[in-house]
Amino acid sequence: MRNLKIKFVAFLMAVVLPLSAAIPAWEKEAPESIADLLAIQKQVQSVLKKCMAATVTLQMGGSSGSGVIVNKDGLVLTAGHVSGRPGRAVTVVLADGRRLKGKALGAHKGSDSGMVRITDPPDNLPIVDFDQSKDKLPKMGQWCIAVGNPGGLDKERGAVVRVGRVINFPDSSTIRTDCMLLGGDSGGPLFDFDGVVIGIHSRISKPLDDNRHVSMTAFQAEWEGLIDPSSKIPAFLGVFTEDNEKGVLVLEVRDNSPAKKAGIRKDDILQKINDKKIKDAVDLTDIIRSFRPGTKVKVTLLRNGKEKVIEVSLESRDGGSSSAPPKKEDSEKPEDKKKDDDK
Amino acid sequence: MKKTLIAALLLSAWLAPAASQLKREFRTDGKAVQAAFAEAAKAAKNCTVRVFNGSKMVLGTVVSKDGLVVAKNSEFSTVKPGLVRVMGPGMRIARARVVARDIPHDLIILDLGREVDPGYEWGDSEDLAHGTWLVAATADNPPKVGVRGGVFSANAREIKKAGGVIGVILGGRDGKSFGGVQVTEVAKGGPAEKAGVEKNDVIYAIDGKEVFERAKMIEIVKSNDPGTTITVSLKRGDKKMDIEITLGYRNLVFAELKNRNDRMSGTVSVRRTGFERIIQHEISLGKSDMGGPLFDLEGKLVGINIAKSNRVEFFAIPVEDIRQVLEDKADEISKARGE
Repeated sequence: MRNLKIKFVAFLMAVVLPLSAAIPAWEKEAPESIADLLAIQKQVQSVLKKCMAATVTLQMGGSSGSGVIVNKDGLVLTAGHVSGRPGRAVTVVLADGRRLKGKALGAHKGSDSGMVRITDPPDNLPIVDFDQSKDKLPKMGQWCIAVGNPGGLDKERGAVVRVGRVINFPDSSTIRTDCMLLGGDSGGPLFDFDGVVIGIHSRISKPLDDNRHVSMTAFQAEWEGLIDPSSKIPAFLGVFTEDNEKGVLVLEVRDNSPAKKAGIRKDDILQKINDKKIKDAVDLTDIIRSFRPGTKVKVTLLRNGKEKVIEVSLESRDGGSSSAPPKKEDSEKPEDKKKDDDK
Repeated sequence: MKKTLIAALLLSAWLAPAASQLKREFRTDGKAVQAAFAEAAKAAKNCTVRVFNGSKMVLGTVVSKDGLVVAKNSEFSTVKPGLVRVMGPGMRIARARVVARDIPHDLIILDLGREVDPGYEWGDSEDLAHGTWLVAATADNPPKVGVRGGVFSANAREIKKAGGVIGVILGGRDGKSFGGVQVTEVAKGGPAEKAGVEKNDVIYAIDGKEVFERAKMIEIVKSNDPGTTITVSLKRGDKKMDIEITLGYRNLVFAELKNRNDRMSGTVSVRRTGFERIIQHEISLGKSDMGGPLFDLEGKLVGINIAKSNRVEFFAIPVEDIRQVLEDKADEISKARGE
């Protein structure tokens, strides 16, 4: 045992001593001197200009949040509670003062990830990279930079910078840091010391070191549904059925449903969807749910013993033919109410 | 037995990372990290004083060898000249005299009546950029002077005045035909209540000028600083009366109407607006740390902390402006000192 210990110490000295001379100040357990702090400062300032240029203010109705542009197509990562309902109009205010039109894409309620797309991205859009690894969270204790707009847009002030460290991971989609955040920061980027986005500001509680950010792993996991929210919303037909030896028997057709609009009636026996045989009532649900709202399908059915083919335009359960209904622009009121709570 | 114990230990070691957190000492405000600022912090110990005003305590900064101290004026609105007590480095509690005030920068200038070597050099606030480390004095561990580091965090700029309030809600009728603006609520303990304004009073003039529109009236009142006294003319039934009201700070008068950002920020500075030019940092300070010095990593003074705006935004008056105020007030200070 003693032997082992000595060997272990020798091993540590061999490995740690040469390394300690080389590791950057921000990878130490804690900075040890003014020189270390200056090294940290130099690293932060070497990436900060780019980080700040790509950080934007998002305005919708009376509320505002933050976001970060991550590609030339104008994709903005933000918080789900900032982007809100897919399809709604968003004004994207750049750090240089330009105001661009945008549209909310998807939002994930669970992790609070969200996206906005700049409608006509100009060529000289400032962008930053984001962490695209699918399963790697930042390291505990890792230094990071938070940028955002606490309290909303302030042209003279610009974005506000904070430097802090990763404290822990309250759940698999959340990073907690001691970079202090406030309402209006929501949706803003958390960067590592290479200026790569590693999180998106999401929520806080009263303790000053409880600042939470959506992890990039959460964005990766939900990517498809965020980019194209309709891809995640199942289609809906609107019939109650039971199994029948010839197919599935319609017991009831819901009012205002796609089935009703297409003329499907009670006592029809549904047999095929787009030439695919319906095995039973559960199978019908699965088949329908595999389509997106807005898809037109051919339903083959028996009515009074005669075969009939009806075309149905499927919708989402709440009635839209698309999950991103470009309804009228947001009214101001609910947003105004939210203004102060928009964290 | 031994084997199971080892297995159990291994298991706990395996489980630990998932539940573990960065130890407090390694967090940005933790001991281990803050220890790196120690060298830059030395300057703070020689020039930071505690200033007592009744039961209130705030920080002050020694700004000259002949014993002048600068602190946050709005924390001393009720003090009588000569009644401030100060405790500083190597000093017992002693009296200090108020020798000047500068409202635009919210500074009060005190005279310690003795020579003190502040032990720092003037810095240059124009050299600061986003991400530059700064060090501020804190009142955390009396009687010691604490320090805390954080970065320069936003553009230097003017902070516009928020203006004073009388503490009423004008939620009722207004307009020329109505003949004024109706008071629907009077904030408890606010300036209007203290002056005798009642619910359903109809205000029709401010400082002798008739105003019948709600928005216009709010604008006129707001154009005055807190602490200003205005004359409000109102009708109560058949009676007409003129009432003098001294304006208060919105966040104090309407404390219960705090927005979410203020609720999340703990106690903020009463006066946190109306500064010609401030520099902003993220050093997590309390309201009573205002008046304390702000240094760069070389230990040069770059500003004096003036307001905690919220939990993220802290303002300091740049050192250049402090020096200008001392120059501008030189005659007034000499006079007060009886020189």
